[in-house]
Amino acid sequence: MESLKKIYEGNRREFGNIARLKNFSAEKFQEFEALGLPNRFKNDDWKYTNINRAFPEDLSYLGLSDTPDTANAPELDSRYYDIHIANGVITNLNFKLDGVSVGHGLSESWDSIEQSLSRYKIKNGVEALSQAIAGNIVTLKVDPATIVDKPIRLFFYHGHQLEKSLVNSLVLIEVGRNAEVSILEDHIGPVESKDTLNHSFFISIDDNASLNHVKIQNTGSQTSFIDHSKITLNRHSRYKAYNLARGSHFARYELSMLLQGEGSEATFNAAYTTVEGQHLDHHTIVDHAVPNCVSQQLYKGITSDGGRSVFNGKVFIRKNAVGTDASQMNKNLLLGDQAEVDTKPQMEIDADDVKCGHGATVGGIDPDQIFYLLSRGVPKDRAIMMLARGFLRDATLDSLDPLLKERINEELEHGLAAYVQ
Amino acid sequence: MLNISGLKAKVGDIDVLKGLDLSVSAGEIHAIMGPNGSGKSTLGKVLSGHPEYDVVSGDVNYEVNFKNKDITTLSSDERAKEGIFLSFQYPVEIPGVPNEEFLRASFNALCKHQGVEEMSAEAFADFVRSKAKDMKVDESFLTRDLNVDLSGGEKKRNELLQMAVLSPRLSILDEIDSGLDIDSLKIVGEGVNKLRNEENSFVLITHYQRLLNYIEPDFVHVLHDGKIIKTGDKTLALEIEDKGYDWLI
Repeated sequence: MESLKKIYEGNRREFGNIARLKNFSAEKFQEFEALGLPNRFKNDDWKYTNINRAFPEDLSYLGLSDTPDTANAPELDSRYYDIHIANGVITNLNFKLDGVSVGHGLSESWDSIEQSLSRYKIKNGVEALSQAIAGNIVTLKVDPATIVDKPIRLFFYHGHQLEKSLVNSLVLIEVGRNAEVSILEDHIGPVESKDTLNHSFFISIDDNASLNHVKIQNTGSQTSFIDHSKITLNRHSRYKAYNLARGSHFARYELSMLLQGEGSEATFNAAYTTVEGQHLDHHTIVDHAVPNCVSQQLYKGITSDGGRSVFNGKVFIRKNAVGTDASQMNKNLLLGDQAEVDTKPQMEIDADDVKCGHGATVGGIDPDQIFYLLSRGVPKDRAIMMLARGFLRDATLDSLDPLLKERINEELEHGLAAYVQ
Repeated sequence: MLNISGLKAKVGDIDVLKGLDLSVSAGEIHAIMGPNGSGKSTLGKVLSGHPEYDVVSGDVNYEVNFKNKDITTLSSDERAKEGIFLSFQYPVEIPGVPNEEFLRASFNALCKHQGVEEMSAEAFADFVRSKAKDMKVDESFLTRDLNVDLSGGEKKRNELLQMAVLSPRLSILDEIDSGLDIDSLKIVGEGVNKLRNEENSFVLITHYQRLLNYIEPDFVHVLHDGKIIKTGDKTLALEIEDKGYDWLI
């Protein structure tokens, strides 16, 4: 906690004379101090996951201006409308587009940011902390009726001279009425990094708008990766998300989805891999607040010896949410006797006339499938990789932009190579 | 090409093969018939190295580059690379693995073993489509996941396609006729006849003489209680069809 206080104070000094921001930050830090970091013995949502692993006492403060060496910055990629975010700060972008605006916390009107953030309830200390130290909020707005012709990429990377730092980023995304856009989040970083990456995304999708959202986590295996995503869907809006997580020392994904507009549809799929020494935890909350909405979740994970994966999903179907169609599934493939999976899909249904299904499976590779591939000359390591990739593949969404699908396939191939050594 | 002598094998604690002898030369087709539970499918599994089947004693010599090699110590993929192919009685469904991708991985594994250059995805796409045409297999099989949602007959035809692509030296077809309607049986029969030549051999494991109307065997063997108890020519199959197995046991 001492280290976090130092980080907060260092961060606050850099806000200079922006009083509103300073006040906001102080308020959120007070909230953090009151809530504290989630305690796994007292809070069931943290039963399997020790957040202290992500916040060690020797975590250092990383200055807002301490961006990675720009001489070695990755190049912008013309296949995307590319936005580079280094250590939580926008450093580069390759477009100027009618109907799409990209902003920055210190330059934007703070009022509108504060107003947007106030719509989302803070659930725990980590969320309060991430707002307390978020000087550089990134805003991305897609104006009503704007159809964006290629994916917008948020390219997150980090790097600096310090041993262990907290890299904090907060992104506000608003998709206007009837707009359509695809967003790719790429997360990379130095292989040897021991940083804690704390990301928050606040996404609002207005009436009849559509957002396809792919997240690919490729950060070093020693990093701690925390992701809070809060998504609000309005009338007849559509959200399709795919999350590819390659696992790391510590990873926690928290997804809260609120279906507050009638006729909205959300699909959230994830594919993940966890290897020795890694801990990967997915917590999802889907809240059906109004009638006739659809939500689907398919989480598929491979856990190998010495790795641990957690899935905890809750779907709430509120009293008046009749006509809801909700499904939630977590499927696990275990490679080895020392792999551990804790899975708990849950549904709370308070409405009649709804269609709901949830479940979880945990199992190993089918020996008959292995034998079939071997009998055709495919070596065992390659056979396991083909089966593992096949297992994860059906979580890929067919309707995504071809470029994003291609990226996902490449990543699946690349990420699974670790299993066959 | 293949010399089996005194082969004893078990699955778990159960003895299934109890001293089997069989000799197959290049260019020959052998049919193995026998009542249920006689060990026919076990023979196929043992020859292709299924991990649940243990060889207890006996020799299985397979000729590789004019030298006899005991294959019982080789892993399944090594046997496949030496040209041994087992067509499964129940081909396994593998979701998420497209047929063409699987076939290319398999084909290239064999190329690599034989020191031949591996084939690119583009070149393989043409190659596999020409084989599909030869074997009268619908091209749409290629883009589907391996054996997923195929009917029993379609799965068997997919096995035939794999055989055409990999051109094995020794093919063991385990009840390739089961689950086939007459038209499919004819297609499979024609396919095998197209693939047969003086260099390769086939072992057909079957219950019914019907298949042998389409693929003419050089030898017919009757397997009972883990041993071959009678060997004859194709007329033996007709006799079995007529009289059953009782007179032999």
